[in-house]
Formats: sequence, structure tokens, C-alpha cells
Amino acid sequence: MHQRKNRLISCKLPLLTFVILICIWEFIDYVFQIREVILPNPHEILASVLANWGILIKHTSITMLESVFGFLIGSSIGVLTAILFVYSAKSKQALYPYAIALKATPLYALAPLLIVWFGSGLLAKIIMSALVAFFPVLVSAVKGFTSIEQESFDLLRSFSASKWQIFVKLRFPNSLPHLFPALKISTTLAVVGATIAEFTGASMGIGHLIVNASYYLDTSLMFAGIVMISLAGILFFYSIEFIERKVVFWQRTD
Amino acid sequence: MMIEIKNLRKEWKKGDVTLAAIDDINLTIKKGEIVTIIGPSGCGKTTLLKLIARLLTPTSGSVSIGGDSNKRRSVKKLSIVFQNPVLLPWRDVKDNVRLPNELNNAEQNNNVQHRINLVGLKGFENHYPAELSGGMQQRAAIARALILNPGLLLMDEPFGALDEINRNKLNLELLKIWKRLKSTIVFVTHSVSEAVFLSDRVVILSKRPAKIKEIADVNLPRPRELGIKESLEFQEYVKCIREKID
Repeated sequence: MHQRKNRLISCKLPLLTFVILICIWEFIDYVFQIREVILPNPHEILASVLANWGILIKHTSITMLESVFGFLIGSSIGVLTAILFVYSAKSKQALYPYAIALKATPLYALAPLLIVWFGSGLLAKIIMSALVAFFPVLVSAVKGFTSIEQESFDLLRSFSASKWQIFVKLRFPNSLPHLFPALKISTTLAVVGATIAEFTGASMGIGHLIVNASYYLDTSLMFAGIVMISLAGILFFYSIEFIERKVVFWQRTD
Repeated sequence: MMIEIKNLRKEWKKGDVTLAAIDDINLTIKKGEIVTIIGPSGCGKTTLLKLIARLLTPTSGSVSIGGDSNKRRSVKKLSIVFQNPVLLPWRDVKDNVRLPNELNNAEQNNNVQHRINLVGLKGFENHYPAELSGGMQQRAAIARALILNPGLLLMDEPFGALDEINRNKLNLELLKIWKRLKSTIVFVTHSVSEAVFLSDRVVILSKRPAKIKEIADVNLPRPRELGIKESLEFQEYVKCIREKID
């Protein structure tokens, strides 16, 4: 009961912040009479969202499709690579430093190259998404699989556990509290990856819509696109958090 | 289960330097006996225990358990209780206690509830480790160690992290469990009074590299109650052993 009340309060405050910010925005726009091409009013953006609802949904769905596939592929490969690193010290030594280095590289710079290689269809965007979603998951999965007390290994070994049993019953569950925060970060990166790839060359998707709207100086539509993809990204993030709460029930990270 | 330790030596190599952790250990432990190992901290008590458990391989010498000296850890013969309970936080008490069954495909073994009752955790089967006190966590760890009816129970300062009241309580209960299950117990501690209270024999180790300095017999009558700690005889044992530790 108490917890539910707390959650309600934690919902109320951000909502209040939102309302205040919108009011300030409307107020500034009204006082300084800023033109719609430069900065549209919140209510003009809302009108644009409603007027273009069908198109916005279509393009947002396409971007989210790319992001979700990219996320799934990238994070799966991340986890599998982490497993390889855990069981083969040589491959870890050979590859891990580069994985860390690449994590810090702005992979988005590869977007034009991917368009050249894979065309302007969905594939290039999915690959871009997967690339950026991959590294945080890899690094956290390696940490999760290995940051285990020696005593836990000793315990399982004293009961003659096989390597497979040690993985399934110890390493894997132990990795989950490390893995989920990375997965959440990767959801947002995947959406950014897909959108940026769409900026570079696409005939569909929210990135394409935003770039196109900019050619027509339809700033309200640009904002409408930003609003839609933000909401979709937030939904994506919180759906992973929802799964996290169900799966990693023994550890409350908040 | 009888244990025979012969000329046991374990070295650690660090670069070019070789450090002996334990050296020249010869010890025979009779079936059903409680033997405590005591010595200055960092002397290699845990190393000795891990060698008995075959979690480490000796540099030279041998450990035979129940006449079986092969190098492989054999199932169901021994269990370890560590200083930390080492419970898996994503499993409740019942599933933690059941873990050895799963690892050895012994799911038909339905000791689980009995062992949980034995360590006094009845009613806490569905609690998660985070919901239990330190003492209760250690009880769960003991229940888990007992699940496969081990002939040998190795305990590495199992009550070291507990307060004195809990520690005495668990000492007493350990003796009760021992009486019922008749397993051999090798118990590492650095509390002299705990050692005297539990053991038939106390093995005193020297400073590193650990060698057996002396083996003291404890001829206090069994069953032992906590009151025995006030007796003159008990205190005489404690004093005598304390003087021999470096």
C-alpha cells in the first residue's frame, strides 16, 4: 500500500515538471512571438501530431522495427561473445581490448558506409542498431559472468558440478543484474542508431521523415517526429525495465 | 569416514619465489570423529581444508578419504560449509538446500524438508537469503551441506561471522546433528573455546608454513551442554591449547 502510494508520487512529480516546462515554453513563445519555422508552440506541435497521425505511426513503426531487431541481434551477439570470452582466455586477450576501444568510438560515423554496403533498405539500419547495441551488452555480460566469489565456485565444485551446470546455475543468473542495465542503455542506443542511419539514406522511417520535413521547413512536423520517436524509445526502455523487475527480483537496483 | 593425510605439502609459486603454505602434515581422522584445526590467522588452515576437499591439488603427499585416494572429487562423500553462507540470492531456502540434489541428479532424494527442519528453519522454506539473518543463512548452508548424507563434513570457520549468542546456539545444534547423522567433521576455527567445546581432538598448526605443532585430545564427556564451558576442566583445556598457539 505504502509502496503504491510512493509510486504514485514518483509519477506525479515528473508530470508536474512536464506541465511547468510546457507552460514556460508557451509563455516564451507568446512573449517573444517566435515564428513557427524557428520554434513552434507546444500546441502547434500537438496539432501537427494529430494532423499527420497516420504517417507518423507508419514511420515510427518502421524505425522501431529496425531498432528492436537491431537490439535483439546486437545484444544476443554481445552475450554470446561474452560466453566465448569467459571460456576462452586466449580469445578474450586477443579481442577484448578492441571491444573496449570500439565501445568508446562513435560508431554512428559508420552509417554512410553501411548505406553504401547494404543499400537504403532496412538492413543497413538494423546493422547500425545492432552495432551500437552490441558493446555495452558485451562488456556488462563479461562482468556478470565473471564477478563471482571464489567460494561460490568452490561450493559448486565441491558438489561435483560440471562446467555446464556452473554456467546455468551460477554464472548466468549472476550475470542478470549486470546485464539488464546494459540492455536498457542499448535500447536507447539502438533507436539512435536506426534514426541516424535513416538520416543518411532512407525512404522510410522517422529519420527520413524528419530530414524530409526539414527540406520543407515544416518545423512542427520535425518536432512531431521527434516527439513520436522519443515516446517509442521510452516505451522500449521501460518494457525492458518491466522485464528486469520480473527477472531480477532478488536485487532492487533503484 | 576415515581420512588419512600423508606427508602433505602445498606450495604457491609467485614468479620465481616458492612459498610453502603447508608442509609435512600427517594426520589420521577416525570415522565419526570431530577434529578442529586451529592456528594463527593466515597459517594455511583453509588451504588444508581445501586440500582435503580436493578443491586444490597437493604439491606432494596424499589425502585419502574412506580409503579412496584417487584425485577426483567423489560425489556424496563430503560437503563444505564456508565462513560465508554462499547462498544463491535468486533461490529461496528450499531451492538453495536442494542445489546439491540438482547437481548430482539426485532429485528423488527427498531429504530437503527434513534437513530444513533439522537446522531449525521450518517455516522459512520460501524465504530468500536477503530476508534471513546471518545466523539463519548459515543454518540454510548447513542444511544444504547435509542434503546428500555426506560421510565427511568440512567446515571453514562456519560461525566466525556470527555473534557469540548465535555461535553458541549453532555449536550446540551442530553437536546434535552430528549425533544423529554420525558424520566425520573437520572444523576450522580460530576460537579456542569453540574448538574445545566441539572436538574430540584439536590439531594445533604452527605459523606458515603450517605444520602440525601438537594434537590435543579433549576428553570432556558427551553430550556436551553450554554449561560445560564454566567447568574448571574446560577452562584448563582452553588455557593449555591457547598457550601452544603462536
